Amino acid sequence: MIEVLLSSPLLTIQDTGRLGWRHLGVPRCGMMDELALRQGNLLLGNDEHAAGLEVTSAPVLLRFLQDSAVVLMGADMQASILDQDHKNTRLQGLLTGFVYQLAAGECLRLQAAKTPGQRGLLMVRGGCDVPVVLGSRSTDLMSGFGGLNGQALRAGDKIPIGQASHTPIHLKTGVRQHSWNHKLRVLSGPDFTKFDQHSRHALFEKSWMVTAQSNRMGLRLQGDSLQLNESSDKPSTRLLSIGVLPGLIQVPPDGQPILLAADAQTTGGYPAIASIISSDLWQLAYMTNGTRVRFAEVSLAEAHGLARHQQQQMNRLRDALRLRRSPA
Amino acid sequence: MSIPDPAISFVSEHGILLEFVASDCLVIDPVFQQRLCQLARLLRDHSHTGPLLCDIVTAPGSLLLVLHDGRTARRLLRHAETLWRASAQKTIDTNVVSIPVIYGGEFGPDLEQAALMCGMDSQRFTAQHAQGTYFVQSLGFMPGFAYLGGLDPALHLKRKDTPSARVPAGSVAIGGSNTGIYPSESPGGWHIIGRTSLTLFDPRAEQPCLLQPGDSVKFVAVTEHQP
Repeated sequence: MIEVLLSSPLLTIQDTGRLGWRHLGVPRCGMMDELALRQGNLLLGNDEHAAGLEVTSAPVLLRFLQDSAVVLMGADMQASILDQDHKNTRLQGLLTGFVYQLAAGECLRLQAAKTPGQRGLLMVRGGCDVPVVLGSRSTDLMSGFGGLNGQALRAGDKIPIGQASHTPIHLKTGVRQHSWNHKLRVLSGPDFTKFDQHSRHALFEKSWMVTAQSNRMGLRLQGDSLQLNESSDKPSTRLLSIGVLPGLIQVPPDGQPILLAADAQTTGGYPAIASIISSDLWQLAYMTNGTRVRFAEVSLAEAHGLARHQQQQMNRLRDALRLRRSPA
Repeated sequence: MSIPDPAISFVSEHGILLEFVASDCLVIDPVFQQRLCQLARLLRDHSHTGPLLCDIVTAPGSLLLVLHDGRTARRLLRHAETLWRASAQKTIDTNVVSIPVIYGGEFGPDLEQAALMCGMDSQRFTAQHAQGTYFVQSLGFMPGFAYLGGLDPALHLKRKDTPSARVPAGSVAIGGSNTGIYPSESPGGWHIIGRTSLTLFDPRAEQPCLLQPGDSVKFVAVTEHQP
């Protein structure tokens, strides 16, 4: 068990998300940086899809009620390990991508990320063992299910820890957190050609600022106003909703794009100008109020190639860690 | 009959959007939409296509095919064409769901106003609403929220300018050319005309949603809810 002594807004349990239920209106949810979750889990000998904690703000203080091993990923949260009374620090400046062991009773403190709003991840050996709802342990904050009672974690909550699926790995092995550059590669979307020339140009040539009205459902961007073609005879707005996915960039009538994120609804009615390729989606975890992002168009073949490359990297990591694992 | 030339576009490299009607089209032919829902079911259940698919989202006049690997799109679309042709002769057997509704009063606070806007009294309004046969065009907005098509044009209502902050679960409502039921409490911009005691969405149930894409729906006016 992990006891939450001090919580912060949006501290939630997330895994790789709820797949296969969008036809019933159920969003994916899951860790915003799914890649880092899977890396951390592999390092701990967990199933790649095991649930961890997503930390959006700080401070957070957790007490481990059993001997545990943890990995931090994502934004540097200036984590430290403290004794039972969280008075004395045993270890500070914990690095992302390495395994740390805590004795029963010890506490883990997470301080604010340097850039507020950037997410940190905490994975524990055995994973957060909350009930599986619709195939996932992820917290759906909008609908209030999954995770622990369908809510963000609060002080006093106790998170059950499961059994790891593999033997532990060598403690000296680390994984590298992917570094974000806020350059997102996109495919042109279903309504790309309905936008006027200026807008199609501006999407790629201008930078876009993430505003404070952003959350796990979507990131609202600010920049040039993107407008639909008015010259054509046919009405160019979208009157019927379509199925949508995280990564899609929708443009409401005010011309300021919305980038759909993990908790996004399953259907949407705004014109869709482009979509972030799946291998760049993890970067959304580190885009926060004031971040400037840029979009670059790639072809469908490139997007498939990049997705496959990312999968191969994960496979290589899995194989490398398997080789290093001490014989049971 | 082949699939009417869909416009194919991408919602991600693994998400293929097939649009069968022009984007300026407003009302979908119910028979056509039901065939689309049936195609989605066939693709999901078929041993050749099911394993390729992560999900299929039906929306009015379109299907979003979410693939595990977008590179299998061509193969999937070939099968879709075959399944569509094979299904042309078959009658679509739809599941009919009856929804008991208490219209008006505390359960339907917008009924009087809605009837007024449609130029009829509330009795005639509810009678007309309960008379219709509806079908699930798609689910969206929130888990289990079904957009029902087939609403009598006399009952079409522009959404509220200011959404209500709190619409109770089970509320039966009208928004634009659709009617629907709020599965959980939420804010909402539709006009609330009644309430059902049925559970529309339960994530812990084996079948989490009462309504599935393609289902037929009848509303039955009742005066009190069965316990």
